[in-house]
Amino acid sequence: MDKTVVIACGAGLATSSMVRDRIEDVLSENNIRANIIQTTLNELEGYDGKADIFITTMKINSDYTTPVVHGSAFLTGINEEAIIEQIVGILK
Amino acid sequence: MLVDIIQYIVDLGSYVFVPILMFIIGLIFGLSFLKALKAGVTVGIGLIGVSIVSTLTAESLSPVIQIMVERLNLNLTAIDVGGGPAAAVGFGSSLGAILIVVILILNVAMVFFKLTNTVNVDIYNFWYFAITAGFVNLLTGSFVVAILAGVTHAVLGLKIADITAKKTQKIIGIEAISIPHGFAAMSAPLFMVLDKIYDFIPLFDHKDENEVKNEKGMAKVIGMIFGDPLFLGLILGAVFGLIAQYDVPGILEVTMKTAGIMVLFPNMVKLIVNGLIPISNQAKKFFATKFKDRELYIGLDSAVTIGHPVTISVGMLMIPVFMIFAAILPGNTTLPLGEVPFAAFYVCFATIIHRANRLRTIVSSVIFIPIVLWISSWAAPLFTQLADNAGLSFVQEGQQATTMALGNFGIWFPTMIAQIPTVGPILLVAVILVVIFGGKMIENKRSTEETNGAEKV
Repeated sequence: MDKTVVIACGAGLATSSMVRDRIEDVLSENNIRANIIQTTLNELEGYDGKADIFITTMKINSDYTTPVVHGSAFLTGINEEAIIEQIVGILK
Repeated sequence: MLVDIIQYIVDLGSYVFVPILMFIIGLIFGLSFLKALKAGVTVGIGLIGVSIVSTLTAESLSPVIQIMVERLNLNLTAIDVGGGPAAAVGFGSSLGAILIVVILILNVAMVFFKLTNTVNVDIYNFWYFAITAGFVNLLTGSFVVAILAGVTHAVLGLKIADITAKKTQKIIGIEAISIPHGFAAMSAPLFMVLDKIYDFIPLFDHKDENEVKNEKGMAKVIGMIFGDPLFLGLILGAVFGLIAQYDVPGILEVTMKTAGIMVLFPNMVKLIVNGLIPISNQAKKFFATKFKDRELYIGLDSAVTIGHPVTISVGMLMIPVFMIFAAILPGNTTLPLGEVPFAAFYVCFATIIHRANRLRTIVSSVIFIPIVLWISSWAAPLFTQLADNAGLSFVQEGQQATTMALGNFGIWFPTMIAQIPTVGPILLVAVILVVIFGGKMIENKRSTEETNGAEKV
């Protein structure tokens, strides 16, 4: 079954698009089929429990049931590998 | 001859010449032919999308708001269309494309000469600088002075990002970043001054606040409604229709269309963002390989700071404050709308500067909002003209378009300086130099303070 990946940033626009660009590569390199949804932080609540992973462009204090990964590494390029490993681990 | 060719291309309209320029820029930055073509055309499609949605605002939203403000006897003649559509206006002229190249080259030079540690690869948000340049081009008719004004805004962003980098990284918790954003960074100097004043007032002392929790219950529900453009559009649309005393079908229509506008604009703008991402990535790669041994900060959108709980909760609190000030503030003509769901962006730097002290952040935000509204009201006639020139008409005759995102001193200050007869351009160069070297001095002072502080411990 296809996984559901939700990427969230402040406005669901600029930074989440940059993360999405990298996530698409990561997923195809690891043969993971997924629907990617881009949204804002305020709307994350609606996907809680339904999505397989939340990737946010900022640190958030979360009590979501869906696992949250902090994806700012995709913006800065620092420690990208560790985050990729974490994401692949959750989705595989 | 060259001027004729440029004029010919510009006369083709923004949907034609902007993709061509972006395609060329893509090639300059080393994208393959097809990737550059796709990037350029995607930006053009975004511009077409914003233009199509803007007919919705001009035909549905604009009339109902006009009737509403007349009934309420308010002087709110300028509709806040939101930052996204404003980005389309910024990139809808050749100034936007040229500034991408000029600012990136300047950034490389400044990094090379160790005048900045920030690399601004947040190309999408260069639209702020393009608007500053666009205003100056309208007012002075000089392309060169316009570029100079846009550069002034960008340099302010870089230096404020440098000065606030360490604090940003600490409060937000992301390493090696800074925020050279054309709005957020411009709000920092005011907050820095206010922060010094708060230090003298015991009420504003930093407490050990362990209340960094997410909002619960009612606050969470309110956040979900007012922070979501869809719901906010429905609510505001219904309110507009009711106050304008439309009949029931009329109210339902304007309710749906307002929600449509609020949701469709950002989706169209997403295309502009997507078209610019390959250029951002190329620039990032260039800096990473050419300056391997330097500790550089990746300049990012202020969106990365929005997750802070203080920013989220104070942002929500500011939504009614925007509305109240819009109604009562003398000289304000801005009707807050498109930027309302993004209120957190207006307080995000206060959180950083005040080290997440909630009371300081609230007071600073309340002081800041009237300034935002005054500047966005001042910008309204210029922005309306600039949008028209880009083929984007957001409003009907007799009304103006603006956005609260224009309400920052990085747009206002260079525009005012540039208008000074004869010496305007020289003063702009002087401002750029003062900002670069003055900023450097502040950084040096801070780093010595930090080292001395460390020794004491």
